[in-house]
Amino acid sequence: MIAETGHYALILALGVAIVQMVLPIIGTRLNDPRLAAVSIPAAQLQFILVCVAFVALTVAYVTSDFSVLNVWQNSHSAKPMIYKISGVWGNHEGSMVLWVLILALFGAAVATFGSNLPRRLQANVLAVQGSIAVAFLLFIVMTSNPFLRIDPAPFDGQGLNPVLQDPALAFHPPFLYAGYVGFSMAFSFAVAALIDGRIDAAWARWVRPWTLAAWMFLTLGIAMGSWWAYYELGWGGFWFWDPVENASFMPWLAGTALLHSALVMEKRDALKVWTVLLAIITFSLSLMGAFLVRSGVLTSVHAFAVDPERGVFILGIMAVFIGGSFALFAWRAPTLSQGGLFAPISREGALVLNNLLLTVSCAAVFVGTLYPLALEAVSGEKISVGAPFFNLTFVPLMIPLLMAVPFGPLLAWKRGDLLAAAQRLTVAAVVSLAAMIAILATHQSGPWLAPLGIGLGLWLIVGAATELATRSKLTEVSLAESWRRLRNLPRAAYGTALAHAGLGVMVLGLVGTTAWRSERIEALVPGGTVNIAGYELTFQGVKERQGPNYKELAGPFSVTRAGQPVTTLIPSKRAYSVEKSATTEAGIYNSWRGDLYIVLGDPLKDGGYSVRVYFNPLVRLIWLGALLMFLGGGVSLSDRRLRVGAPKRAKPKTQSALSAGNSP
Amino acid sequence: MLLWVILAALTAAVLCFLLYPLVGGQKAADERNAFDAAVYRDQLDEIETDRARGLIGEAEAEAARLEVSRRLLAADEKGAEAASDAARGVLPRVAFVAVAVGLPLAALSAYLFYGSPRLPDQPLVARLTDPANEKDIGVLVARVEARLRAKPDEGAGWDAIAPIYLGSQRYADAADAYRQAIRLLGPSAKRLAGLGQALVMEQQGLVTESARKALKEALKYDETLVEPRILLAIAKEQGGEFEDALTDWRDLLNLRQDDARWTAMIEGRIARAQAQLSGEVPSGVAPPVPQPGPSAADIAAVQSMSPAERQAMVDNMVQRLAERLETNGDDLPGWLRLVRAYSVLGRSNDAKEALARAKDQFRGNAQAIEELDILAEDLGLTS
Repeated sequence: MIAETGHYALILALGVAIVQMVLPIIGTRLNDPRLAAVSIPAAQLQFILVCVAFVALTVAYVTSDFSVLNVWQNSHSAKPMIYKISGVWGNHEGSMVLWVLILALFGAAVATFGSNLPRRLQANVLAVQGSIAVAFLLFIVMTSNPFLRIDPAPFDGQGLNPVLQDPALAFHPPFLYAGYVGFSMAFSFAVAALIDGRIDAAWARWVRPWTLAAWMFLTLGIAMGSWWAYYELGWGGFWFWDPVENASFMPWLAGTALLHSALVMEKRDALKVWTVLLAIITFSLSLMGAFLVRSGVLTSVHAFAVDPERGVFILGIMAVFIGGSFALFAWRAPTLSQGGLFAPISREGALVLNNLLLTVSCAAVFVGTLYPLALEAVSGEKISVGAPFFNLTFVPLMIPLLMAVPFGPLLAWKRGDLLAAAQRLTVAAVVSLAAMIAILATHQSGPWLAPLGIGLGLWLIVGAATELATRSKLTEVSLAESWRRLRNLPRAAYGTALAHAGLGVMVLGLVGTTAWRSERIEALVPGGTVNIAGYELTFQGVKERQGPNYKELAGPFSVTRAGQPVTTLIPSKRAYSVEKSATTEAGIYNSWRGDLYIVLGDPLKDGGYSVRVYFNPLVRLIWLGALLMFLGGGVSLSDRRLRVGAPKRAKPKTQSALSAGNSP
Repeated sequence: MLLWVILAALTAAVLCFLLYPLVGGQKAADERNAFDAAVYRDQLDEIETDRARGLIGEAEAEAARLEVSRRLLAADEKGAEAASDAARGVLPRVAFVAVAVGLPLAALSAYLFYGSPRLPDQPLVARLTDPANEKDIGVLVARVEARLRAKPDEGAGWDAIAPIYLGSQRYADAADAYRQAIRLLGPSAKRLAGLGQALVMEQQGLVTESARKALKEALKYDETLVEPRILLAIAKEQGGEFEDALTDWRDLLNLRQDDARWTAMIEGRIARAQAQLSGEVPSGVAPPVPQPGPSAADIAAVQSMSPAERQAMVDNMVQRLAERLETNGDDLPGWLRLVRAYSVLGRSNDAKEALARAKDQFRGNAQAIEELDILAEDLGLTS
């Protein structure tokens, strides 16, 4: 009964979504406010109904109701409770329900808290959101229905892929989806503006926080995914330029661009048309990510061709939304008014440069991801585009971008002074140059790009601090006064500095790990030792252990450094009996210097084991950087002031010198 | 019945809430320029606050104020000229009727198409404790499994569940359960024979080294057991020792003269082993092992197919598999099956060749190579 109520609620939600899509549009077109007003209860009801369906599915998982086909396929009675719950979205059908749940949640939020939006805009936005919901609910009900039943019900399920039975992976889809779906809000606002052919003043005020929130969640989701890959897959890598990763990375790049252009729009009423276009592109990339991951096209183009039902459906959704919104853009964009003007050297100009570099690098990732698919579809030839391609295209685009980042916040709105900004960045330049020289002196054998990378990371971090120092007029006024100013700075300024510094921290981690990683592959018998990066590891033999739903072969290592015991690491190999597959659990010792990473390999004939040991210097900084970026977004989001970018006035030469230290 | 009440109540509540704006009075179309103007006024206030806090200088504040004021003026002007009067008419009433009738109908028919309103929820705990399910083998198995998960050292549980696994063709689970029972309760003829049988079934009829050991061990405890002896004789055939196998079959026949189920099968085996020895059948094509079912009766049933039919069928299947892998080699389970099949048929040269080709195909894929190596070792193809 619970399962059937959930099923009906899902279908009813589809019906409500159709009403939400159709009536408000008729209302705004024919100027009937009563029809337009239906959008508000429709969006709220849709959230409640999808919630009922999601809860019903969760109950089925928690109580191991194997009469529900989806539960039988993806769960097992012996699974720990946390993975029974995460199993709800650990499979295709359930994850689509989660996607629609988040979509409905955001729609309900616009309906409930949108009283400061013009009614027409609100109705149009909700209608567009409704149309996205219709597409995905139809997809779920017709091709991926999680509420189908089996009778008689089997007594135990088929389990969840053991690789997915992991805390980081269990909780990263909700974050990723919150990111993807958050961009759908920006998309809905963009399309709503195009439908009416005007951009209201409240537009940017709404779009920027949604974009920022979506960007935060996506950042965290990608970081969790990469962290998971790092410790679970047992290769010690953190990013593989895998199409699934790229599928989430492309919306992130476009979303980062959108975030910055929405900033310009909110503060300066400029870049309107470009922001609308970016909003469409960002959500299109999110949809494409869903297509790549959900249609099975990645496993093999052939597999997709054999069972095309789902893939074709998503392809249809993509065609309608991407094609439709671009057509609408081509038709309506000329009627949108262009906003404020600015000089090339200005905060706006810096953000345009940011946008250009981000979109081009996004295009590079796009080509690298889709070219192999296109080639396979056309010629049947299978190639893989790996790290070398991205190192040659993406990385060179990132370097100028990263170098330009500290300049942006130091330039004034409307017209800026590049020289003054450069002068303020002297400290950052000195620090990073000093670090580069120090590294060159001590690591002469290392890769020659490594010192440059470290210098770049420090440049970003010190540059972010410079911005705060400049705004608090450190060195210009007394310490007490500049402390007062620092405390008075808007939280958005701290958010910017945190996020930019986080980027720098991440660069340090990326460069450190890639350049100075060390690796040993040894055959060890119990009692054998291996030395790496100053640590001595002693293998203590293997023993069998029984977990809740797996058996594992654990091989403890005692770790010492300079004779002092540090820790004991227990890498293991787990065998999951229900799913008949195995996972490798790495033993990892974290420290600020770097991670010690041990993987237990296969048994050898002489009773020993092959063992892989890595030392990944500074690797922790990668995720710390992502966390800082997330926090920076949060701090900025908590700043609910209205934002106006005060432009600098064109003034006679003599005065400009006076106000040089006077930037906003 | 309760379900229908819930669904009807849900639908009614949704309709009331959804349609309320269509009947309730609504203000006339809003002045969106007034909204714009409100935003600009807020912005002007914000500039003033920023200036007061010293975040922006006097000159910047003035410039910003000027810009926003310009926008505010424009919005006010537009607001004055846009005098929209809302169209009133039948539209809301039409929409009301369409939604009130259409939505429940559409939802109900879609639900009847996709849903299963008759099926109750079946949470596992309720099913396991329901006395009505007392005789259901699935319930019993699930209960024992749950108990063994909590107390994996209860030998009696493993001993009880192992033959049930074997009977329901969960061979890997059966082998594991027999091993646990042997570990906890010590070896016995029954457990060892069961283990051997489970291992053979798991390998689709191939008597591997570990299976052979278990079967021999079983005979040490009770040499009157028939199944282990049959499987061991088959093992000899698979190893090409037809003479030894023939001796075994004859001994078995003497032992079981009174049982027609057995004699038919054993006589068939003898005939084939003799044909093999006299060279009537090309030595490359050894008689296939009957895919032995879980009991001796099943073995006999499979034997009822004529040898030629079986041979043709098996050859055909193997041939098809080989052809499929020829065109699409990226199929590890397929290769594993092919190697095993050749080995079962006694075509060890073909098996070795297929193994080499599979390894070639999966070069660089350490896990695949490892699986292939394990299989090769198990089948004795490594020499």
